Amino acid sequence: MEPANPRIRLFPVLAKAILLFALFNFAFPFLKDLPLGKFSLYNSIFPGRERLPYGEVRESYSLSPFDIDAMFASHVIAGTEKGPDEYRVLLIGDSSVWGTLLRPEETLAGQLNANAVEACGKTVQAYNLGYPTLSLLKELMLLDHALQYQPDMVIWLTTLESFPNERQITSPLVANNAERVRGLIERYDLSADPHDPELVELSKWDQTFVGQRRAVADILRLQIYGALWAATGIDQVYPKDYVRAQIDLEPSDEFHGLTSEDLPSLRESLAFDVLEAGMSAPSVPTILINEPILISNGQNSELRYNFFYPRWAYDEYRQMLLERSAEHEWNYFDFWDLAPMTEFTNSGVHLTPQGEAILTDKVAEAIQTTCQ
Amino acid sequence: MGLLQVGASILTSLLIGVLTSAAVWTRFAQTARTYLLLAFSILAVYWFQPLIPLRSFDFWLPSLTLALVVLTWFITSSNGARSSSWRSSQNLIALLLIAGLPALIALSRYFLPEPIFTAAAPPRFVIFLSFVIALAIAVTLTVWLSRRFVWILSAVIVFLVVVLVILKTPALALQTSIFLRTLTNRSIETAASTDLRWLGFSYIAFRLIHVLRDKSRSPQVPLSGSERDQQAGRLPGLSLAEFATYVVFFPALAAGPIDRAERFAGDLRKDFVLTRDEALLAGQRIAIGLFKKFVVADTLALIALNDLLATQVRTAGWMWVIVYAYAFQIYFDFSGYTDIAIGIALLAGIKLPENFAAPYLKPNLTQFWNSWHITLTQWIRNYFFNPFNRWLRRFKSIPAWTMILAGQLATMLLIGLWHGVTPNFVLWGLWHGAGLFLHNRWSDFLRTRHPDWQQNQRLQSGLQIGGIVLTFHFVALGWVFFALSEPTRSWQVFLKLFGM
Amino acid sequence: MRKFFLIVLVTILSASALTACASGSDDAPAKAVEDYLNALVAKDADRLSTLSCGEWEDDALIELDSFQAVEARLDGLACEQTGTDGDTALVLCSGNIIATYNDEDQELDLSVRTYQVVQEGGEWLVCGVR
Repeated sequence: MEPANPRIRLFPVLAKAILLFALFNFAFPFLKDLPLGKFSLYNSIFPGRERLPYGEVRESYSLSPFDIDAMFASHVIAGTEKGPDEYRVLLIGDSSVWGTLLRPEETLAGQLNANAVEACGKTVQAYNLGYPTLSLLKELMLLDHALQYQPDMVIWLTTLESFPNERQITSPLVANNAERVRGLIERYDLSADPHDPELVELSKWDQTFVGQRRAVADILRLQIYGALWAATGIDQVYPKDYVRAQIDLEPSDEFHGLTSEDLPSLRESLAFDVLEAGMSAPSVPTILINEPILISNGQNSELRYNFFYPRWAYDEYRQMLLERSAEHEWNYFDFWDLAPMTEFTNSGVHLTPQGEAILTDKVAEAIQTTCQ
Repeated sequence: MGLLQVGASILTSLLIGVLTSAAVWTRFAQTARTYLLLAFSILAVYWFQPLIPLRSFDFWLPSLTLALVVLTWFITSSNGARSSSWRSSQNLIALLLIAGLPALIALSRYFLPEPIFTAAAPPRFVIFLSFVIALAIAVTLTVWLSRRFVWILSAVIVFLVVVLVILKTPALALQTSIFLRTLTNRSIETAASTDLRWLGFSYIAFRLIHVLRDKSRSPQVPLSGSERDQQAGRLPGLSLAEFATYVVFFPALAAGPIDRAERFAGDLRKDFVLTRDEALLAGQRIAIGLFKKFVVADTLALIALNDLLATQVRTAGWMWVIVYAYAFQIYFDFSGYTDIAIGIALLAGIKLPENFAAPYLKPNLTQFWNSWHITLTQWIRNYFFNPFNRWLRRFKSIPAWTMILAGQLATMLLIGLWHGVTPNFVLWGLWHGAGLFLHNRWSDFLRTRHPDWQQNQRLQSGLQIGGIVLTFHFVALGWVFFALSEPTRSWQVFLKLFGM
Repeated sequence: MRKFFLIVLVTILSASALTACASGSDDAPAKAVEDYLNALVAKDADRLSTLSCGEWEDDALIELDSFQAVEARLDGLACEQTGTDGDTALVLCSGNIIATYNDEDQELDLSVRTYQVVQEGGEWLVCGVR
């Protein structure tokens, strides 16, 4: 018969607790094949986000997890069954596609959907899969994951600043998904170094639960932010004021350490192999768009188009894009000078809502002419 | 308190408990425990104080706290009793600790590369020395005056209340910040009402006022039974160590509970052995508190009502969600902190009073206020509500219901103002005062018109459940005033909550 | 009792003498600038205020505002006193502030500024830049 008040023996309890925790902690790496990120409250309790989660401050009600599964699980595309009348278009790109300083409905995807564009007898449903940071490899990684969602078309908007080889792995999203990146490098025989020191290598300890606590916390916090997304529709801070993109420019024609005398080196320093991989990956029509850039008329604008681009480099890049597109028969559209200078916000590639509207019309036309 | 400070407090308390238990057979054990608790409490006053933009005030504010403690003890300690004579060895040791530890902290700027116990480098030692000398003069003068003029104790109470009002009133706090910045040759453009973050002063002031009040009480004023037991000069003579430890006791420094000096001293004087069961109980309490505060409350804080969110939420449904989130966040945060404080204190043999007793499960507002921040409610009841009601009863012409209304409105208004002298806290206080009055009238109505309802079990159950739901929602709606900074914003939230 | 007070007095006098003799570290001005820059990238307004002199406090907080929207970090920070100008110590730092804003990584070279550091109330405080 058990005593009425059995005394708790502290040390055995503590010892068991520590042992259990240690077991769980060190077994955690073996659970990594369990797609924890796919368990999501989005598209069930909370509506899916209209763009991939990215946030640097708490007031954005968003954060920047590195778990691709969790990112996509929170996106509306993961919870939207493709309708018979839907012409599914994936938009891949950088912060200009994601929509810095734009509300979801003001982005390219938002405006395409609002305009109810018809293409090949169906209604276009565009999904914003843009993500801030400039890196073709980042976009290839996201595109590779997104192809599971049965697109009818992929539109890849890009700009020169995403091309330099040295930029490919600097994107934190790329750096923190070493395994995926290595898989892409191997699959597409890319020139990027699979052992690039910028790729975050997790030590044995980093792979444990304690080592991964930040990543797990990010996934949990992303779920909680779902309530705020549902309640407010806010996924970004919209400051009242911001510093507009530079118009008066530096008296320099330098581009990533290269000058106008280094034209041949420019060709070799750009990751066209990544672009080619991305363009060949989808089995559906893929449109490549050279996105609009700010063309300044301020100081030193005879040397540079904007903060990012000296004229010689950008002109050469456009020429290269044209050549490659012709060679591979890509559906290529060059919208580089589409938007006037006044339709850019805080960066030489970020458009105002009106600028996006101009781009939307052109992209809609491109979809209609390209769809099969 | 952050996790680091909680961890350090737990270890400190455990160490004190273990050391005391190990030495319990000696006659020094309990005294040593008091001194150890005092020493760590003094260090905590400095360590827990956050950095503020007024340079060196992260050192001066804790020093002023200790100065007030010393002053209050000197003017309330009775002559004759050995424990109260400052010349006694135990009080000299305490004085040495109270002066010596801050001196060491001040000296640390000369031998430590980075400050440890203060957020920024402490001021120069010569300035600290000047402060100590000035304090000694002030204490001597005040004590001398207090022996001759009875009103000195009341004057010190008024002083404490004035400081509290200044800290809690944004406009006054701003002006004070401007004044201090001008004195110290700082920019006044960046002055803000939040510059003077004096850790735990609200609680410290109430502990000091309790002692001053009980010492100054005239025996001629009739008291209720419980009051007579607690007040009327029954405050025992406390040594400086006991008194100082009571006021700045490190687990309860930041946010209470507000204990009573005589009860606290009683725990200090008991022979204490930390048994395994007590350690388990304390550990359990701490673990629950940590979970409530750092897991549940901090998670709810992400989606709890605040000024920004109030303007962004689009629908009534989600507005209710964030209001509920705030209601539970504030409960788990505060009660979790209390659990941690009580658990830490238990390890050192101090049984702090409970502050929460499942308040959201109470069927009426009166019971809610008997189970939410219990020690504050008791303090206000003892030192304001009862005396105020006694005063009101002198006016025989005032009807009973008016007296009840005035008493409850005034009391809840005071509680609101204790949190902050702003329109929203006033509204919050009035909201609860009105609610308490309504409950009082409802209870009266039931008792006089429907005494038979008491016998109906099913009805009683229904009233109980309904009461709980209604009370919770009344309180939750009251939190709208508490959480937001402006009445107009609060009104907009109310409109949105009800779909308008 | 008398012995007690004597001990206390001697302790206080000794401590005062020691602190009077303590000349302070030679690299205190440089340390002050390093602390200032760390507070700047950490966006710690309170700490920045306490590390600035009265005349510079407003400017320091304006500088902090410019970092609010960016992620900032220090790279290779090392500060050194390079001279004096009357009572003002001049401090030069090497390294960069790397600020990331909308895909634009900006490196702010710290060596282009000389920090003016003054002593107020025994503290070295940043009081301007050249």
